[in-house]
Amino acid sequence: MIKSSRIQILYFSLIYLCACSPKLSINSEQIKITKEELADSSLTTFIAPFKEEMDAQMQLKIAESEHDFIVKRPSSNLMNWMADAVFVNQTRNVRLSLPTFCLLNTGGIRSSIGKGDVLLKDLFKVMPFDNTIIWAKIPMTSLEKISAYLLKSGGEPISNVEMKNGQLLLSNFGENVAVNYFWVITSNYLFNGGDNMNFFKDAVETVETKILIRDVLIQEAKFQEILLNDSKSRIE
Amino acid sequence: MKRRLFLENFVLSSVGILLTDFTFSATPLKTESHKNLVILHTNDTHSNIDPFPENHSKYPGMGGIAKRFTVIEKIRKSEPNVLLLDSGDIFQGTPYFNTFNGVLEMKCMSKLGYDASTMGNHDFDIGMDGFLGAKKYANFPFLCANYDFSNTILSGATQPYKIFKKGGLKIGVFGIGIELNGLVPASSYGDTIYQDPIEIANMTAANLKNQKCELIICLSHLGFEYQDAKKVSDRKLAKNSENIDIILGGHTHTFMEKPAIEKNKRSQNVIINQVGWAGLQLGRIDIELNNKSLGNQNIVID
Repeated sequence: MIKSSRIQILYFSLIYLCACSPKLSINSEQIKITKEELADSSLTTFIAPFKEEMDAQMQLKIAESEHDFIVKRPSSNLMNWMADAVFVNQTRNVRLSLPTFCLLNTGGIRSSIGKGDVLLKDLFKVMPFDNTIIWAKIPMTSLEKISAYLLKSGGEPISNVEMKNGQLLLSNFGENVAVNYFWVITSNYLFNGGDNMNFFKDAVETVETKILIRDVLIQEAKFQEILLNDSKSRIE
Repeated sequence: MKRRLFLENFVLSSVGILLTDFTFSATPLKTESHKNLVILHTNDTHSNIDPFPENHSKYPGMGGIAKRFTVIEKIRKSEPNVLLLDSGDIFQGTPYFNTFNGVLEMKCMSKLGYDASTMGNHDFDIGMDGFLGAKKYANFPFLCANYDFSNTILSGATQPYKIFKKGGLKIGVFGIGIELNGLVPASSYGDTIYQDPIEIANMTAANLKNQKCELIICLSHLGFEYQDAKKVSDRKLAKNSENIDIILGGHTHTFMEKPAIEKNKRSQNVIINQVGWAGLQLGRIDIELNNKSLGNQNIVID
């Protein structure tokens, strides 16, 4: 094996050799940090007290999961779960006067959730950012921009709204009511221009809740006990 | 037992045109001018101190900074000239970050002996004062050439480049960051001025060349490539560059089977590498520089 790779290296080197100086020759390797690799004991010892302090806070069991919850565009069970958790939490005791949906960002879901016990730590991994929930009232004329954004990005977590043939379909709000605005429940990160969701600039009114999205996920997971699994695609 | 895989083998010239005829055969071999360097690098480690959990669907038990340390130390035992570099996004991704505000990441990287890093967008996540608080525990410099921090509290805390001398080689390393607008809340980067990455990279590399650096490395957090052709990326930087030999990238979490090669403005090869994220891999690039001869046998390192 090694012999033959030497021959190959020489072959490539001959082809690329140049008459000018200086010469630079390069070999490369992407070294995988495998499960079997031994951990350096001095560093493990150094990390231990930090780990202990963190674990004491993070090992708390919040809920259980009967499935792997994953992120996959255009729409997946974890994307649905997260958007639903925020939507349900925010609208539970609210009488909605306008169409309302939740829009988060796929890039903001930083980890999957494995089947089994769901620990506080897992939800911190899913949502490590200290982003807060904000409601934005947006003119109906801007709905098209959101549809176009979702089409271009390939899919973001949404709840209480569906996308069919590239168009967002708001939940039915009575046929005779003239609806000129809708509410989007989102994160302060996205509202403030994150991920270039520029349509939020069209907002005519906002409600800043100051509630951390992560806290809502923790609260809803506790409430559900077994994470609700909806893997049906909402974006088509 | 130890087996090295040579994923890519090539020779590039920092001067000229590639030749396909074998005119070197008459050149005498002068191995005494032989210089070598091992570059080890990471990107987007995102506060992954521990290995991934055993029940993780994609990376069960993989990664972990203490295991990375073992791998690095093994290489240092057999290689005298090692540079250990990071391309940013050290922060954010595990509760370690939320619990200790980035201090543990900096302390661990210092213990691993990192020589330099650049800043990624997530390194602004707890604001510039948060970064500064954690950086106190870093014994390596942060290289940022295209962020102008002069009107911020980070003024003087970073430097555009650093020159290293290892194994007889003079190596210039500099850092290039991504546009923060749209990625980081304005309140977190304040009055930081984002300067054109290609322009600044070429300026900095020319400066390093003038200072007689034989190898020029760019630590970039621009991202490997984008569908949007207008968006600046490592590929785009490489194509429009002069004097840069290697771009060690980040941001797009790209796992590359082997480094990519692009031709720069002068049709010279630029190597681009990136190793995914979360400390799942360590990139290794072995460099052999031979000034006076065409001693092709030097190319095999084993």
